[in-house]
Amino acid sequence: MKKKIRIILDLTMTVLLFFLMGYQFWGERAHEWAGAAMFLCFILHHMQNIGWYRSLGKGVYHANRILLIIADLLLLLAMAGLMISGIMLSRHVFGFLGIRKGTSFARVLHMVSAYWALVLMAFHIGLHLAPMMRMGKRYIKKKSVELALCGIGLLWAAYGLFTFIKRGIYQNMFLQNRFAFLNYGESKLAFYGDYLSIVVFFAVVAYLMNCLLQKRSIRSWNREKSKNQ
Amino acid sequence: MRRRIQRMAVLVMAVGMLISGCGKTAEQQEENAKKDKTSEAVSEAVQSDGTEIAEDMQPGENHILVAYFSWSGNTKTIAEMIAEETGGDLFEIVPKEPYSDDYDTVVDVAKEEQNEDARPEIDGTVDNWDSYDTVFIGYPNWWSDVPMIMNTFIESYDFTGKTVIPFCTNGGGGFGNSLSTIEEEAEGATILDGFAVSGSKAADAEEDVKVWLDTLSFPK
Repeated sequence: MKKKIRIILDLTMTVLLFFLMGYQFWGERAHEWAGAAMFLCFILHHMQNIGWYRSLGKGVYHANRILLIIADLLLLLAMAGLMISGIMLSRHVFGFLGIRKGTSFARVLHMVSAYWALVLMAFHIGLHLAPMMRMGKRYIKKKSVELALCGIGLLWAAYGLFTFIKRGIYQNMFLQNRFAFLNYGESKLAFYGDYLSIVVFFAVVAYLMNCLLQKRSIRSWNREKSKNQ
Repeated sequence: MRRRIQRMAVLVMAVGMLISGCGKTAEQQEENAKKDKTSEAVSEAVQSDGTEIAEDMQPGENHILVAYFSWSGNTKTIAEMIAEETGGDLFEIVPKEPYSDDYDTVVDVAKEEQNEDARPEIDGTVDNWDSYDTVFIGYPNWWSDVPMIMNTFIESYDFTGKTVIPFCTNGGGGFGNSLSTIEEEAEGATILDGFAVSGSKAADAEEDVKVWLDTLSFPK
């Protein structure tokens, strides 16, 4: 049951992420409510995974663990930036707070942290993908099917990198644009297809980095052990 | 050895991610902006009555008004190009209470006006409003919409039977939600395809303005 809730929450957050990235399609009011819902999910996600913070000071810091901690702390930062600026800019949900100053700064902060959050959330998903992949492997018996799926994943990721560059997302991340380019006339399918591919790219990169580093950590751990014996 | 290869692989991937952030120019943006324009252009173009109105036209009389609000001067630049090309009369929408010259302050004020659904007062009025058949309406994109003073302007005049053509300068958001605001506000008007341009490119937009005007058929 607990596991089910966890999966539902994770999926909800992923759907919200995509909804929020398409600000230009859904109108301001829906964007604000979705943002508030994400805020709530974010808190629930932390309540579920509070153990992660408790264990921070404990155990050995292998390379893959360090990667995970850095990526997740950066994501935390981006999310904090989004929530603060989102509340400052809100007119429908948090309008009653009457925040009047600093909206120019908040707008830029919102833009920059939104694109960082997109990339880091994809990275976050990728770093935590290993258990899901293991589960998937149990259902796929044929080696050829597994290889084909891997190939599709890699090609998809390659397209994600292509569209990440084509859409100039890095320009928004590094504040080379003062305004993000929003195409109100674009088809939703094209937009979401591309953004999903971008998420796939960073998830695959994170997953592969994690695998490599994990193998390395395990080997060095084994070596230590055999030395001590 | 294998360990070294793996370490390299991770490094290569990390560097690749960084490099992927350094290969695109402003051209791409422009191209996107054009795409934006063409897709916006699919909005409503009801021109069947265009010829009819043209027949009513008195020779030597000007039936075109180019009304605009400009804070930085970008919208003014485009407005002047349109006026020159069409021979229309210019009308600058000037707020009674001038906006600050400071960008950040204006951003705050614009947001507050939007939150309060304000109607900032306009200094001056359009002479001979009834003599105009076509009204170009220009403004900067403020918070993904028209500056609230544009609502004041549109609500001050009767747009029934007029042909309205919006144009907008922006940072990258195109028209934002402003077209639907104009549609709602300018009741009874026929709205033709507008022109949106990045503020930084306003000064070089002459050619684009001409091309756009050529695609429109409106009462002159």
